[in-house]
Amino acid sequence: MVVQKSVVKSRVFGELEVSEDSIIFFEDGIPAFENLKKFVIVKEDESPFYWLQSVEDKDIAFVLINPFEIKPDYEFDIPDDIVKKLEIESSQDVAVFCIVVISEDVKQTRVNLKAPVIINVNRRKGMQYLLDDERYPIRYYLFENLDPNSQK
Amino acid sequence: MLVLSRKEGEQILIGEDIIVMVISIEKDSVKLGIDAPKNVKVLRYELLQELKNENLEALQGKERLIRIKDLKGLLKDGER
Repeated sequence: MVVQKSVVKSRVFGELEVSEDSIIFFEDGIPAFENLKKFVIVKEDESPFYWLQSVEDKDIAFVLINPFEIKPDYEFDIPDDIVKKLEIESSQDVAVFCIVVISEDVKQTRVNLKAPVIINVNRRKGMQYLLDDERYPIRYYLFENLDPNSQK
Repeated sequence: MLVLSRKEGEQILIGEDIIVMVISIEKDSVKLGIDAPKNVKVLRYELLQELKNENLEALQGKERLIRIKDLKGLLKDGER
């Protein structure tokens, strides 16, 4: 089988070679960027961070982190309509990321725990989902909450 | 915009299956009960705005890459 490759221009990475089968489709876009539907995830070397790069707009790239790396007890239920929408069949289909906002002062870096990015890695469908959960703030300040004892 | 006057305990029907009820009225806030099907997302409007603002702020592109490297260092410090 020939995998279609295409080159995505990216402000962060320059030209990025992307295979068609790694593109994740966000049917509703990302809030504030509803028009952008196609993204790829690029792992940042030797760090817990990833990039969610838009295929359609080179300037749009979000920094992501796996929330379990910073908050091991992070958990939420994915409602049935989202399970259906993303065609999730088992928990192994699911990857969860949170968007990181790096502040001018790096120590003020925060993570959006309220609206995780949920991805069905098998179907390559994703969405940013706003949780109805008081436990998780939109602005979770990384360094205020970093517990040295819980980290390995 | 449709503007309706309602008293405590009175309801409004939207479409076929969404009911909004005025639970209580206090000095500067109204408590509303909303009964909607599960697939209808009910949100405080500001929350979605806040999410959009946060997403806009998150977009700092390449210049933040260097900061990520700093962040890595800080995370490592935290681990010690």
